[in-house]
Amino acid sequence: MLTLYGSLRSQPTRAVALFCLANSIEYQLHFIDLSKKEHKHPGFLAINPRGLVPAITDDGFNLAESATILRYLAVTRSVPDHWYPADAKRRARIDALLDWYHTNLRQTARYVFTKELQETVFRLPPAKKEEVESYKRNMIAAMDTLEREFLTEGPFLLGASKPSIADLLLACEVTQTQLLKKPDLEALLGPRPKIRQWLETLESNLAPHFSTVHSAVRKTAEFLEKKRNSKLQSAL
Amino acid sequence: MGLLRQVKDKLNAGEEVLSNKARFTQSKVSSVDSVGMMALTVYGDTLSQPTRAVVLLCLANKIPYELKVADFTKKEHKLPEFKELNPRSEVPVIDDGGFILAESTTILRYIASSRHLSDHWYPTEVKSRARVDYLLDWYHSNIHQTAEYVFQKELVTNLWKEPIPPEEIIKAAEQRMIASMDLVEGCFLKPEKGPFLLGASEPSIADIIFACEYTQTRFLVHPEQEKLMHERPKTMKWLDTVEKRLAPYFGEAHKTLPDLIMAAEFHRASLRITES
Repeated sequence: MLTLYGSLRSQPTRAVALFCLANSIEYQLHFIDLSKKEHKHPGFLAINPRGLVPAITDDGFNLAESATILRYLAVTRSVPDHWYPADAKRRARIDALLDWYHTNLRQTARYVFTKELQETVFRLPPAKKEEVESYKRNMIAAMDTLEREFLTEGPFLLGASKPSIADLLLACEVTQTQLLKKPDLEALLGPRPKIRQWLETLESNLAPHFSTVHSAVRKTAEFLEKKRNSKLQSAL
Repeated sequence: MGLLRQVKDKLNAGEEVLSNKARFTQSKVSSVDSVGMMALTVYGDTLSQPTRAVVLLCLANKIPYELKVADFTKKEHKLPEFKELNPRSEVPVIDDGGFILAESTTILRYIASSRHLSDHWYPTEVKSRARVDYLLDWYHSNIHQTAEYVFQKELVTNLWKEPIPPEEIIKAAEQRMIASMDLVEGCFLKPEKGPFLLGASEPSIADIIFACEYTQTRFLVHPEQEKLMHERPKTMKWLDTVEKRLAPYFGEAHKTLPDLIMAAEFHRASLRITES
């Protein structure tokens, strides 16, 4: 039995869960509450010494790193080729996107975390303004690359006609921006129609699973919006 | 005054060495014999450790390649001609008979697969492959911070001759580098199982890219280098094993470094002298 450790509030865990659902791969989600620091508990560290999510256990085989988990599942579950093509060049294009994700698009999550979650949800001291600004700049640069380079042809990344594991991992990172204040989200995605179209295509192509894995993020977005409104009201 | 003159002369000599490197519009042919067409072109600078890793994999497997140098000390990767190849100015980039690819870890996977290299470089068995993939993914936000730290601490000032970056940036990279090195030493090296990463008996592409990251610390001042390595005996042993296993190619891939290190040292020394 495949066990997936993580939280659907975390974008790479979402991507793995979505891949499993889209390919009817049975799995069990073992919820790791990051806000309660469950990822630092000895039991979890035994599976993943870095203590980060997601991680999987597959019949005793432990694995971490979302891109690695996606590659592993694509190969071991013999899913349709478009998810992670066997052809060396097509595969290399997807590997390059997965690598680019690490050093570029992941700044999105850092920005969302430091801007909206660090204090409110995780009750940590606020991040320095320069740090948040730096993540924002990097996130915007990454979104621009996505919009102007990787999504110039649709419907999926690099003009593919069917989604790959890279579409899932990158899309789940972009959807984390739902946690931003509405004006900030509008300013970010409003001028990027190709990204919006790509997300819509994924949602309809992978219905109902895309929506299912995003229910936790929607709930958190609602919670944050309520908090902002109540702060506003008590300030008035 | 005499000492300053000597340092300046040596510094100028170091700069001459740097200016002799061919621009990437010219080419520097590999030392490997090529039979027929040399299809694989590598654009980069072996000053940059991911370029070194790609060159080392090619050399160790006698893959014919042509290195077109984009001189990092002159920021040639920022030139418009380079941006035509890769708009994001990343190095290395390869051109495999018209197929252009960036991202070093992807390039290493691609070369291993397309050239059908010996299995240990990038195993076909799914769990062994997953272990290598794990290291390659982990690399980006972790041990790759070594290069980031070296760049911010030493290369920005001593090779690009620019003002020293903010203390917070250097400190942040240093912390991530040290945490990563601790994890490699504490978790990823299992000499009781095998001499290479994750206890493998033969090197993989992960060993290559990690090793090139550690050798980047040669740009740090000696006491700092010593401290990083001597506190980590398993790492020192592993690095030595990788170097010996890949001799003489390991040395060949690193051959541009000594002159650059010398140039950086002289610049550092000249800054100290002009300050005093």
